[in-house]
Amino acid sequence: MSDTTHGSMLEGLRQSYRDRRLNTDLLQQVLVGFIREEVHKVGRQDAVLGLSGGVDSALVAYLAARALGPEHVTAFIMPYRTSNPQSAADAELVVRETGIRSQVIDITPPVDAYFELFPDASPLRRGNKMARERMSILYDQSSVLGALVLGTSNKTELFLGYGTIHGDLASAINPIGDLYKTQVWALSRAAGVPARIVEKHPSADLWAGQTDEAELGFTYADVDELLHFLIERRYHHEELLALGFDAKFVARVEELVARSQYKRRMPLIAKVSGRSIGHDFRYARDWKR
Amino acid sequence: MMQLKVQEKPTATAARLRTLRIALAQSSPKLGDVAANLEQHLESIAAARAQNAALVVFPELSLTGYQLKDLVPDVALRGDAPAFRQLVDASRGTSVAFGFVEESADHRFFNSYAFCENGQVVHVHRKVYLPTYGLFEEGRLYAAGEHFRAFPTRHGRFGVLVCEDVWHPSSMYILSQDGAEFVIAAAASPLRGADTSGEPSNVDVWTTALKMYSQLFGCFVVLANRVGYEDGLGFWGGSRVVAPGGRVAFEAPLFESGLYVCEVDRNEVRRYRVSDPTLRSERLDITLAELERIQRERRARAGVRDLAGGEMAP
Repeated sequence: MSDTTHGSMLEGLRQSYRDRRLNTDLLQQVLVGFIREEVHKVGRQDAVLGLSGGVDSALVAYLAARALGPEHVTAFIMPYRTSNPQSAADAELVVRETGIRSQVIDITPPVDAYFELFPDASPLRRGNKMARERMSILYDQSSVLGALVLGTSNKTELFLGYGTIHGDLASAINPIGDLYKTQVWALSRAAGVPARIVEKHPSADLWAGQTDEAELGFTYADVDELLHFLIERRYHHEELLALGFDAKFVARVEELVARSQYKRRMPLIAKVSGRSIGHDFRYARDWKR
Repeated sequence: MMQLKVQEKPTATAARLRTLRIALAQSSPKLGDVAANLEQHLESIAAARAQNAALVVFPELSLTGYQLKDLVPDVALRGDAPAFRQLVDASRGTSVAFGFVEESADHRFFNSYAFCENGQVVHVHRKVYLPTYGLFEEGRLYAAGEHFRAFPTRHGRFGVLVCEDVWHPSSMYILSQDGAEFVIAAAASPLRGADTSGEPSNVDVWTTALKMYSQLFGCFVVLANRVGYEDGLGFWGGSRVVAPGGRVAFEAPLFESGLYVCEVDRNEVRRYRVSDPTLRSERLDITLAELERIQRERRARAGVRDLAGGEMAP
């Protein structure tokens, strides 16, 4: 094969990725059905979620409102004193547009009370604590409301480990965990999420001016394309380089994916008996549901 | 109770054609709850009978749900089990085809599918090809069936394939050579790949295969695929009847449970085979002789694999 032909084949492969168009009607049908059925089959009518003002939780709010009816969805807006006020405003916009219920709970007092004991704690520790504070509130409220907690982590952050274990990664069911960030954007547009939420720079909003892409060091568009070939298409390292991906970028993402595997699994249980949870006591979670 | 949807009413001309009214029970079984699913089956059969359907077709493992894992022995049925007998009894007047876990006398478990009519079991197909890759783990749950057989029914000669069986063209070839005019493809197929603007990728593959089989073998293919969700898997439904030659005679919607009644003309098999008579020139003797040669050669080469760079035995 000549170099010219070789080049055009590679370009064609990456172009075919960029040319893909999400079947947004079908996806909404599947995800709305998933939320409705998984909530109802455990005897619940209601769901709760943390609404950050970002696109992921906004999309889940839209899907949940359609699945369960807006009166059966409660969003908790849980700012910390350093959160960007625009985030809560965007979350309020989602509440108004979808008609779901909402409550604002300031997590500053409990988080600050804890870190009075550890004034030198790093921003990472503080961010993780905030994520777990919010999780703790959602699970408490879900119990009061007889609701399931909806997950709002997308596939890109799940693969990169860009989330807090037992924090924002915790949920009962996650409708968007198999959608990459760029797919979340496309589906959000189709689902009617306001443009200003879809178009703003994604941010964990742990400190002023923080953006995901600056912190990660690459864009979601780039990493989603890489993850497509690495995960979906099962390309090996050398093959990814041949496709034209930067070697350092590939190595970094492969390392992030491998290093965060623990965040995608239940805790390991030391096996000492003949039939052990997580090893050979094997039932679907929807057992008799 | 499932929603009832009827394609068309029986017509006067239907009697002169050899009409068969088929009810596709696109159900969402409750995982591991045979009693609840039995009730659902009996309701669907009664509704199908009320719509003058002559045959009700349920999906794969319709009596148990799909992701059974350690539940397999708990939901398995022997031929004399009351739940099984009730469904056989319900086949008086309306033929009934359904999926279940079968336990053999020596306590092996099969992913099985029964065809019953006139209160009798006409045929049980034990799924031969058990997918054990990706998200599938049937090879660690079930014993594999060892037969593909066509069988006579009130409505013509039928054959059954269960899901993965469809992906082995030899299975369809065998049923065709065994005289099948109708092949039931019972499935529990989860959606994979909605990242295209067209049909989801595996729906597209199913559609292509069923159309091709009905074209190549001149028979009806009846797909009964389930709906509902189990642990995040969304089963896509889209049950359909493909007529000889590849025409989609009826198609149920994706993801919506319901009892879908449609009508086909059995004479289409004859008409298609008159205009496309490839069946008569099929050389079973050549197929058999060549397959036997390949098997002989493989056995001769088995264990003589050259890892040092020579050609590997296939």
